[in-house]
Amino acid sequence: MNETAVPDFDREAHRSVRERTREMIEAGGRLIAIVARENDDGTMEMIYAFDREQRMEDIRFLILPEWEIDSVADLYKGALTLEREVVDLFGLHIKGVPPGIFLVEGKSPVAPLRKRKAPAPEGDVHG
Amino acid sequence: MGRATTIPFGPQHAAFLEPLNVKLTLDEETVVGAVLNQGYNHRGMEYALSLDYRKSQYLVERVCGICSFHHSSAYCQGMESLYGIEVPVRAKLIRTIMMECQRLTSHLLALGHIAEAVGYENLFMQCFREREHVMMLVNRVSGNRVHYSMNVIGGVKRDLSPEAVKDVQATIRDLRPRLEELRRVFSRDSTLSKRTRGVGKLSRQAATEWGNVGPVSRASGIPRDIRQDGFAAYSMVEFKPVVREEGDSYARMMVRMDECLQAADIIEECLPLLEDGPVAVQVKGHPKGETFSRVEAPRGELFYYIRAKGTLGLERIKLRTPALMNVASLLAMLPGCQLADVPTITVSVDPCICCTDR
Repeated sequence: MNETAVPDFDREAHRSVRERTREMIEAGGRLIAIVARENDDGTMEMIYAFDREQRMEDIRFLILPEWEIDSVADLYKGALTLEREVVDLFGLHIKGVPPGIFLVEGKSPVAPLRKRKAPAPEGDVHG
Repeated sequence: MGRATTIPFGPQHAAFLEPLNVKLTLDEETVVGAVLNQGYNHRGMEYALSLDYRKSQYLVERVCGICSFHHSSAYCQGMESLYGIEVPVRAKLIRTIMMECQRLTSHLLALGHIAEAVGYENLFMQCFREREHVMMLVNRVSGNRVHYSMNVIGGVKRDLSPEAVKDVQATIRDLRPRLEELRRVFSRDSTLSKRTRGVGKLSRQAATEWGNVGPVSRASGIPRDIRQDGFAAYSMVEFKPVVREEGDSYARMMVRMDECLQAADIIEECLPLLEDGPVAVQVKGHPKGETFSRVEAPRGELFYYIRAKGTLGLERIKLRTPALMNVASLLAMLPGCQLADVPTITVSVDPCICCTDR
């Protein structure tokens, strides 16, 4: 993807995910889910949803799909399953997290929850 | 250590109702390592649910046949918050009653399953006999045994008639002594005790680190129950989370047994609170915005993230099921146990693979 084609956003925000997760856990937060979501401009929003004293709080940042982000699984063991799901269903890259929790390489669709571009109009196919 | 042996446990195994594979590394009869392989039941539910939010209020029940009503409650609750509407009190009470009925059917299934895993076939049958009374009750009330199809965005589409209220009262009244008898067997039977006490221990610290929820976390001493947040009509009834400290298979079994009696209490508390009134409000237009929604399903906290864009399709719907977190923590419970205890331990976390894989 051409990085200049997407709107400006904080390109360093994802680097603090471990630090922010650690702070949240030390403050008594419990990681509930990691939600990935694709924007129309091609950026991905990552949402780390926490329960803190019976209230929902979250950590959010935008990334480009080809970036690699840090894993928080060593801070919170339950996060590994959540991260593997994101890797499988969105084809994102998380350091040290292998794909394959739900999908089988070579047999399953690749990144099935990513938005697909509309097919080219009929007659527009060359060759 | 002798020569390590690796054996597959599942995906098709007598102890499992659904496909799950645990690759076990053994030193003679002792488990020294375990790797989970899941995904056999992945159906792409998150994609399917995002296609049409109106159809999804029914499709969402098909994520799981054991906690179907909890799925639709979490979904409808989330959609209602996007619409900014308050559901009528009567609908909230009906949802609470039906959720507790489903907790009964789910926990009695799990208890029967544990009894079967330890080789106690007769107790398995007794659990399923009592479960059948609740299954027939929900069939009479909703018209369905598994997918009740009662929830709609804005409330419920089927009211409880005065006869249905009496039916619920009578069924729960008759069920209670039989649940107490089951509790006596589960808590005192020496065979069950030997097969479950001290087996598959999960410390409070480990349960916190693995993000366990529901009866599995409460059996490890974590007093967390999302019902205390007061969704549906839970703020109108009094209850305390059932918590035990042992963290073993016995504790997980007994938490579920005690929650069956607690479910009967909650249902009986809700029934007198039912007053005449509407059971649903109409919603207009397509929803827009983002919300988190949570309910306490039988296996624990069920989390939904919904982002709507003002069209029939949802921009994103994400489900984090309780089984997803609980199944992963088997990796903390299995090492050190005997091979013969693996079925008991895996079943004690009540693994719902339909929910886990979606």
